[in-house]
Amino acid sequence: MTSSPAYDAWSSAHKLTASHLRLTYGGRTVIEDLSLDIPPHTMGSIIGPNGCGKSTFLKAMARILKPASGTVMMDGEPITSMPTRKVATILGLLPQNPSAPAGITIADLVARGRYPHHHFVERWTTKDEKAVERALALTGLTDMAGCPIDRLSGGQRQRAWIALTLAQQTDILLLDEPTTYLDIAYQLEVLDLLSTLNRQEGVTVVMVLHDLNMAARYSDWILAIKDGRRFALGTPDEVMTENLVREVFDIASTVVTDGTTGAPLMTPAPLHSLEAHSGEACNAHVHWDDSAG
Amino acid sequence: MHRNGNGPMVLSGLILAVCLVMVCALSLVFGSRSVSPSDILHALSASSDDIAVSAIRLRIPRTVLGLLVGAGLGVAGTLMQGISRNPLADPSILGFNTGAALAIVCSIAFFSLSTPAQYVWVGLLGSATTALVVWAIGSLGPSGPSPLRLTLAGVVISSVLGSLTSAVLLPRVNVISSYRFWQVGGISGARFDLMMPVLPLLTLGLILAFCLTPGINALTLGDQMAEGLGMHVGRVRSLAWLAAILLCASCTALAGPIGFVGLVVPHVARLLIGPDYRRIMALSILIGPLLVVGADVVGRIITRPSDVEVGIVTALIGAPVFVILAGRRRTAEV
Repeated sequence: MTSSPAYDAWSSAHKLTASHLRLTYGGRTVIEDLSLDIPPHTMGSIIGPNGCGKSTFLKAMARILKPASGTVMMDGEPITSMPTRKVATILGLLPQNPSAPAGITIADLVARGRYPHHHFVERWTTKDEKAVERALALTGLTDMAGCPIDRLSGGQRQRAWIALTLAQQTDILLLDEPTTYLDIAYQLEVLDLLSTLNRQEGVTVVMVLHDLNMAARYSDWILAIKDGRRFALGTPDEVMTENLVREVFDIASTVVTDGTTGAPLMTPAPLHSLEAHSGEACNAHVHWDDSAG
Repeated sequence: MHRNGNGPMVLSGLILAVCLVMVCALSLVFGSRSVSPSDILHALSASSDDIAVSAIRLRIPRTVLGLLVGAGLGVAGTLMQGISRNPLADPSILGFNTGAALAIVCSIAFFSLSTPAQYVWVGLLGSATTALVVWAIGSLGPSGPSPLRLTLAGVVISSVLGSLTSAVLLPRVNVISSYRFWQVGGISGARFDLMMPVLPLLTLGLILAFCLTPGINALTLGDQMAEGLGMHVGRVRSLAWLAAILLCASCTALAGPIGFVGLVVPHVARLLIGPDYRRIMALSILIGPLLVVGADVVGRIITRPSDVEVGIVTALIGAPVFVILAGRRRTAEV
């Protein structure tokens, strides 16, 4: 991993770990017992079916959801006992649906990432200005800085939000489904950006992703969650197997190696996805079988 | 911490300040009795028993009250729209005014209270209690108070209290006649001795509001984003609600329910200066007084020599302004 001056200046290797988290939401247990050591300076993905608790887990790692039991530790200290502003200088979070005030420009939105670095009446400094300029440059938004955010495309908007978290200058960045609602070109745009940040700036990136192939392509490690527990954790090659896809997502598939990237590539088997759900009894399914036979 | 140049902000602030001074001067000059500028100087400095001078002396507390109420309602509206991310949030929608109204009607009907000094305290009690009830109902549920629940709770409580007020009021003709002057919302009966006890509450509310403003900027990005940026969302929202209670309850107690100020002021400020709440807040404290004192002056001119109460004028000016604003895209969201 190459190290840039900026990366050295930030901070070296903050360590975020979760041990035996049990997470509940509205009285329902979403995560039973889940532990994870996030390897510093890596890019990792959390995958799993809808409702498996992956977003909930990410929120707990970002200390915005208090665990029912278990602890999230930052450099060996319970994250909930640290001042939240201090955490915000180490750990950035991009939630699923942030809301942009109407009419705000990219530059002003990105500048709000400086919030944790300011105390009560501190003035805007050159350090703040540099952080914002840098975040804009890294996300390729410098030329559009004065543009209102409501006029941007989906990919540009997501880049602006990522720029906000970059202006926050954190060592670790957690993202909840950063590619949702984006078409394939914008998905690649966002993931390429995160990958660059990870490799060039040493930012530890953890994201919840729905697209397994994107997860395999961009991650150093993948955590697969099923029924609130860890099902598998390892490199994409270790985790992305036909067996895992069947066990976790309930679909039959073929996993091959992508010729260009070398990452595992999953293709759902034709019709088998329907068979897997046959227990849910639907007439259309029966009819389909008849005509097929 | 202002990122951009302060040019537009300084310009807007300056223009508004000049307008405010002019409106205050008009407020001292206009009335049933015309006075000359030299009379104003006399009234402010020397002791003189001229009739014109005493007319102005009556108008001074009225103007001061207009400034206070305008600032309080403008800042409270900005605060409420910010913490609830709801462009329609306003003291009347969240139930503050109806709470004060019910308390005052009950105090007239059942306890025969009749002096403005008593109304002030009863109104304060009524709107503060209502605000706490709205907050409590809005906080039910697993994830604490949400903007939507607060607004719904406010609307529901408002309509319940409104019905109760009517129920108490309608069979009692004598209560109606005492109540109706309070109900339209006015600053014509202003007296310094009535303002003094409420002033500390109003001041505290304003200070709190300005302290919370950077947090409101973070809060407009969504609760999770704000927490990710290191803000205590629950704490800031509770304190902001407390500040709004102090401001609205004080204003309603002093001047009755004056509508539209809390609603319109933040929108005008946003239109002038953009979405940064530190700037919106700073302009609100100028625009609010400008609107209230201006509406009071207009109310004195249009039906000379009698007065139209400021609450009626703000509604007449505020409603069309709001319709125009609502049609513009920039103000559609907070």
